[in-house]
Amino acid sequence: MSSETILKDYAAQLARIATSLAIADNDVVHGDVAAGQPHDRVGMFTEGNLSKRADKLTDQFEDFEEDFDALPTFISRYIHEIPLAAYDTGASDADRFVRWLPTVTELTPEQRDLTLVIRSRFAVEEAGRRNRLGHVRFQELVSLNDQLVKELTTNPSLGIHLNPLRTRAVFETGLLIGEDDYPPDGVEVLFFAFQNEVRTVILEPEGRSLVQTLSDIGQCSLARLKKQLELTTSLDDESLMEMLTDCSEVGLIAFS
Amino acid sequence: MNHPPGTPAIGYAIREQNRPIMDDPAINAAEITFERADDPLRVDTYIQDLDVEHVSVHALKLSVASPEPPNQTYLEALRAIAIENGASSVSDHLGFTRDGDNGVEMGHFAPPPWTDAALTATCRNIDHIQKRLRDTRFYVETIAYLFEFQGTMSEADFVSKMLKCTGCGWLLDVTNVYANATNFNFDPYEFIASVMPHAETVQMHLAGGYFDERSNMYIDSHSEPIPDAVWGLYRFSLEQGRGKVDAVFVERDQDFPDEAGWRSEIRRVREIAEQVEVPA
Repeated sequence: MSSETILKDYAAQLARIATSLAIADNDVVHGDVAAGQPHDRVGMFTEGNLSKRADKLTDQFEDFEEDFDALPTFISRYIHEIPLAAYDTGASDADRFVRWLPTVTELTPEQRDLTLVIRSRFAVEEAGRRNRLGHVRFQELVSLNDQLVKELTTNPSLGIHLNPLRTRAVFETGLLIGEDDYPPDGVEVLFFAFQNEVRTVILEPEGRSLVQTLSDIGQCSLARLKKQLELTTSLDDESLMEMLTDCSEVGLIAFS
Repeated sequence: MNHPPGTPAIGYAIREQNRPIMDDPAINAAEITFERADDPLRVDTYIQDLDVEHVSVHALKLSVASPEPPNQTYLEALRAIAIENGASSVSDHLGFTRDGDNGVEMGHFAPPPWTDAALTATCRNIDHIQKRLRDTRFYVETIAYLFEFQGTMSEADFVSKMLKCTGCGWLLDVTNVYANATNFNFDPYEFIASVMPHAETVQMHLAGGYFDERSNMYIDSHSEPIPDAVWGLYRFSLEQGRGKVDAVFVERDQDFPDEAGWRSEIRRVREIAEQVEVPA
C-alpha cells in the first residue's frame, strides 16, 4: 500500500473514532480498542469529556439557571447530539448551544434575552480575537480618560475614539435590566469590552446617535463630532459634554 | 537566587492558587496553559510581573496525531502567547483531540494507535509545528490514557521513533508513565530508560492522582500530592536524562494545598534535581 493510501485509511479511522467519541457513541470504536482492554474504559473517557463539556456550558448560564428550568435536559441532549467542533472553546460552544436551542424548543421572551446575553458576550470576545491590537490600544487610551476628560470644555481638537469591541442587542423584556416598564419595541443594550471584561450600557436615543455617528466617521476631533451631530440631533453642548463624560467613565469612548 | 549550573529550571504550572508562592527561591520556571492565557480580551500578559528564567507554554489542542496538521490560526495564537510571555518553549500532548481541521473535537486527547500510519502523520505534524514555531522549542508530552487502540508497535518504540524522526523535545510526564505502568502493567523504569536516549532535550511534569477502586485504575487527576513512587521515578528520570533536562513543572488542578504545601513540594523537586545533577 502506498503511504498516501495508508494515511487516507488513518484519516478515515480517526474520523470514525473522533466523531463517535465526541458524542459518546462508544460501541463504534470497540473494535479499534487493543485486545484485552476493557471496553468500559472507553465509556469512562467519553463520560469524563461530556461531563466537562456540560459543566462549561452550565457555567455560562451562571445566575440564569432559575430562568431555564429545563437547562440540564437541553444541555444533555445537545452534547449527545452535536459534537464539539474542532478548536471549539467553552464560549464558542455556548454560542452554538444558544443558537441550537430555538431549533428544538420554543423559548420564552425572557429566555431569548438570556441567550442574547451569551451571544453578545461571545460576539465581543470574537471581535477581540479579530482586533487585538485595536483593543489593547483602546484600553491604553481609556486609562488616560480621567486626565483627558477635563479637556472636553477647552480643547476642540481632542480626539474621540469609540470602543472597537462592541455589539448591540435589543432585549424584549425587562428581566436583565431590572425594570418592569420597558418599551414595547425593546431596550437597546450595548455590550463592549472593558479591560478583560464585557460590560453593558443601556443607551438613550441621543446615546445611540452618538455611537452611530462615531461608528460612521471613525476616530475624530471633538469639533468634528459636534459638527456631525448637529446634522442629525438637536443635542446641546452641555448635554453632549455630559454624555461624553458618562461614556468615558464606563470605557465606551476614549480620548487622545 | 542562584541555582547550581546544570540543574533544570523548576516551577509550577501557573494557577491562580499558586501565584502567591511563585516567588519562592526554589522556583525559576513557570508553565502557562495556552487555553488559560489566550483570553481574547486580555490587556496584560498572563505571566504578569513574574520574574523567572524559563517560561513554557503548554497547549491542549495541537492534536499532533491527527491526520491533518493544526491550523494556522491556532498556531499563530500559540506563538503570540509564547512571545508576549517570553516563553522559550511550547509543548502539547502525544495524542489526538479531533479528526481533521473542520471536524469534531472529542474534548480530551486520546493516544494514537501505535502504528506506522499514526507515526507518519504525527511526525509530519510535528515538523509542521516546529517550522511555524521557529526558534521556540517544541516538546511532546507522553499522556496518561484509559485505553489504547490496536497497534503494531509499543508506545516506547513509537515515542522513540517520533523523537528521532523529528528532533522535538520530550515532555516526560513522570506521573503519566507511572499511571500507565500501573494500569497497563509494564515497568515504568524500563519505559523511561528505553526512550530517554532518543530525546535531545527533555522537560518533565510531576503531579499526583489517586487509585480508583471502582475502575481499578490509577487516575492522573492532578488533585493529590506527588506519590512516593513518582518521586522515585522522577529521580531515576533525572539520572537517565542527566545534562538534557531543561525544566521540570509540577501540575496541580484540584484540591489545592496550603502555602506550606505548595512550597515544600517544589522545594523537594529542586532538592532531588540538585542531588542528581550536582552529586556530593
